[in-house]
Amino acid sequence: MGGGTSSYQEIEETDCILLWGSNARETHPIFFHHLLAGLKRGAKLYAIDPRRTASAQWADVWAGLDVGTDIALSNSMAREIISSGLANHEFIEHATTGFAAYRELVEPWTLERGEAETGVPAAVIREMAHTYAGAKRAIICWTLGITEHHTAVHNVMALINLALLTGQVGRWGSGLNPLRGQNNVQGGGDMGALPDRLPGFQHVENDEVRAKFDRFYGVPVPPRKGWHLSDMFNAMDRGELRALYVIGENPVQSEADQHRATRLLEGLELLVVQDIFLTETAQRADVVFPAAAGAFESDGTVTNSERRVQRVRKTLNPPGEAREDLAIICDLARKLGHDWTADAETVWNEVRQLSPIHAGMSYQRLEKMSGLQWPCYDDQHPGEWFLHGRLWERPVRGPRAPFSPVKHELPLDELNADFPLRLTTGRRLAEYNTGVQTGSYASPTRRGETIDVSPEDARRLGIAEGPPVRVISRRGVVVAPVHIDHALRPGLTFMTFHFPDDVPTNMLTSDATDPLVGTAEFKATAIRIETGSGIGDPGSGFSPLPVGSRTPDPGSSAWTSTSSGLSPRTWNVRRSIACWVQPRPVGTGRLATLAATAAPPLADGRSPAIVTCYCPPVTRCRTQSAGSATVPSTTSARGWRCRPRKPGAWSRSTICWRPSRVQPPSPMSVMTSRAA
Amino acid sequence: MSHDEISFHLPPPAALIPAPPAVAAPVMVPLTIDGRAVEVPAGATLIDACKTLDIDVPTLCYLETLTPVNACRVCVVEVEGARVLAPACSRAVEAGMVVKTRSPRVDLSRKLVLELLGSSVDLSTAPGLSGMMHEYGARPDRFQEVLGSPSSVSSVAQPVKIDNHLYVRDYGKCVLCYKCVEACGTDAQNTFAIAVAGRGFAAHISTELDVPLPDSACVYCGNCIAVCPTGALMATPEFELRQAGQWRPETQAVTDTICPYCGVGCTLTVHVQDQQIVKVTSPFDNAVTRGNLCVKGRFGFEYVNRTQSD
Repeated sequence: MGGGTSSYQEIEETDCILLWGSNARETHPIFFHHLLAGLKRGAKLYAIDPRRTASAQWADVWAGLDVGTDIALSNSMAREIISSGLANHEFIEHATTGFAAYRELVEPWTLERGEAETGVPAAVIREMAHTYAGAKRAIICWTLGITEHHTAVHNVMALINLALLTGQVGRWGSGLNPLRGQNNVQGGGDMGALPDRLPGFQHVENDEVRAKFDRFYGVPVPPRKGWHLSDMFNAMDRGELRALYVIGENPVQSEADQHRATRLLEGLELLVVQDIFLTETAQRADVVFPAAAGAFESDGTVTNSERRVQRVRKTLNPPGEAREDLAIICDLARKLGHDWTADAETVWNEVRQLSPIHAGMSYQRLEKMSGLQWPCYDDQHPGEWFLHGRLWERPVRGPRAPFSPVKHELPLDELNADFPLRLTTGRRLAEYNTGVQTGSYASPTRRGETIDVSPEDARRLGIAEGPPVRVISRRGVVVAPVHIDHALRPGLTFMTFHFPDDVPTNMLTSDATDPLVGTAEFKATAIRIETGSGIGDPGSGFSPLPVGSRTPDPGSSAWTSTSSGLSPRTWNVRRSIACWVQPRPVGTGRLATLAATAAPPLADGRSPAIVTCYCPPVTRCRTQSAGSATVPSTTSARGWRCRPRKPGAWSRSTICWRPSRVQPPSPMSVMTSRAA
Repeated sequence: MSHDEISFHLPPPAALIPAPPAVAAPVMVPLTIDGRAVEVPAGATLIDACKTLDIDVPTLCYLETLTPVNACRVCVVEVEGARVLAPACSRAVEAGMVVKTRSPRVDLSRKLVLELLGSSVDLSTAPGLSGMMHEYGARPDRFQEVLGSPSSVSSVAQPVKIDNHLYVRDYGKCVLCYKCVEACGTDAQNTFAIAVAGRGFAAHISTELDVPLPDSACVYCGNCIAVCPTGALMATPEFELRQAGQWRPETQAVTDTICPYCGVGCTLTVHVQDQQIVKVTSPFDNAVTRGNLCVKGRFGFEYVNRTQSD
């Protein structure tokens, strides 16, 4: 079962908090309230982050490690814990496996080596190790600073190892908690929006589980796991994936390699997009279903970072012809000859029948108890505050927890003389992702996109607060104004991705991905900064290219070698890690069954695959008024009938309000290189 | 990696359902309120004790989620044997206390407090205040009669501060209850953008050096608006609708949903008037939020509101 092991209440009652790769103060503000309550009660906070973030400012100790050295730090802490005799050997012997190999792996990671590799002083590593291991209760929290690396899974495992080593898991106030970035990322996983899972984290290749679903739905569930997003994209390239049903996602704009994404999506035989905005992807679709906004215009449930399933309720009627996702899916099913009528509660009760961990969560109980935390096995079960308590039972109930020895690897986008600066990305408090939702409200703290640099680098480069500079990576060039940030160390720079229309930050970011799960390495990009007069002016000799163009940098041979030398480029899964693919004619559950009938067989007789992306309907939208919205023809080139739409009924104009203290240069566009 | 034992089968349910460690049963303290005996845990306040007896004690500056500051003195009660009236919101219970929540002395005190507030502060948007005034027979205008003219009565009236697009500050309505300061400070947000500056009648809520909000430390979470008992702090949509005479709470549909942004899962109480979201709050008794939200949750709903073109 994948989810944070602790409850928010526990962080108020713990003694030691490692906030690792997370700026929760800005990105999870109300969680941070709970954390602050813990600090007030006396907990020690260690902020492990390359930047001295707003969260780090609350920490007892800020461990400013170099980007991508998390495993080195963790292994170094582990070695210190073991060599100081602070490991919880009783727990290790009782509840874990693989300790010997782990001890061997971390043995060379002395404090000195840790310091050399991570940049964190040995004394700090030592203190963190001793405090964490010695605390009566200790919690590790992390966010995308851990997972947006090509070593995403290994990074997480490195943290799990620390908890197993010290027994800081499965008890009140001790646990491991990924803070979820979107309101239903956890819920997507709960519902089986993962390549290898059915609802309730039940493995699709487990015959017993599958038989249950077979019986329930009256169709055989395919016995093999599906594709994650990276796989899907490669399958599109191979021509195996020919039809795509995209719900609430905008790959055309969120893809790191936009050329490839666009080409592959346009090459599909059928592209269906269901969204609340007419996104770039939707504009390329054969069929567009205008959908209701999840949080305000439809009924259902979402799951939060403490595994709490909570009710979402309809408060507004959707505009124009927009309809709830469920209604659209049922209608589609009916058109295809399946008599489906369902409301959100009926579907939820279906989940309860199939997923043991959700079985006890009736709408009535969810209502009465302000949500319930899974696992909740029956109508009497109160839900569980924390997971893995079984590891402390005697004997251990179920399998023991394995150590996963993981090796330190530096980010793939290497620093060198041509690209000497490390760029890392993240969110700001008042903004959210690509700004589709937040762009519509007038945040007084909004200051537009900037390239944040340390005072030392600014001095060295001779750049000042305000004027735009060129930011160049091995993949592209953008122009952004400078912001001097004292929270950055020399060599480290920072950008958000909140204003892609102005500064398409993801033109720069690395397309390296974790081979295990396909998460892209957005946190570690090698860049350089160039200055000069007239940057950003139309007549500066840098002719703008359309967004999505890639700009080779003739000054560096690294460009060509890098693009082919990195891991396979993949679909940008940055904000939509929950994805489920079923490359089969007969699928699992409703959507897949639907898919089998929705898409006609291909010319060669094979059936097309269908993909569903479950994530919040957060997508990139062009600022457009009703009048300027393009009305696609009612019949697409491939003969698929589009849903007729009135532009007025569909658009949600975004009011962009940018009272920036730093004026972004205009026009903000991707620039060609000097040679071009 | 998917086929290791641990992920291939769901782990078995724990034998003991995980729960917080047991805490020792609290020592119960007996006392008498309005002639009725009651027992409450040691450390509880008089107002907690009153609640268990369903005795209503009026409050302005009190909120369950905030540390009591004893500023408004509306909640005072009479404790037998005590020289002065005690603020029920903060006075801890003691064994054998005999408390009167209504007595001529209590009523007179409450009446005077309400009259002093009402004479100097615009309480027109404070919910429940007019009922309180009526109940205690408070007549804030009687000072005018005594002093002869409205201008001779001291007042905090001043222009509304509008310096950002999200909320306004009308300190002519401020009763200096400190709730906003507490919510901005250690009780919730820990941003410390505001404090009470000045003394005596010149005391007022202020940003550092009285700078406008955009120049202050404010992060626009609006947790101050949520706790303000008089409408001195008000989100812009409500303020503008009130100005236009179109604020109609009786027609508003109020629904709880979950915030569409990050994964913390904050409950949003959405107030909808004419198919427009006009206000967002969160329940104070919610375990996740305790009534607090961030700027996105409280203000970031415009994308679903209709524009003229829709």
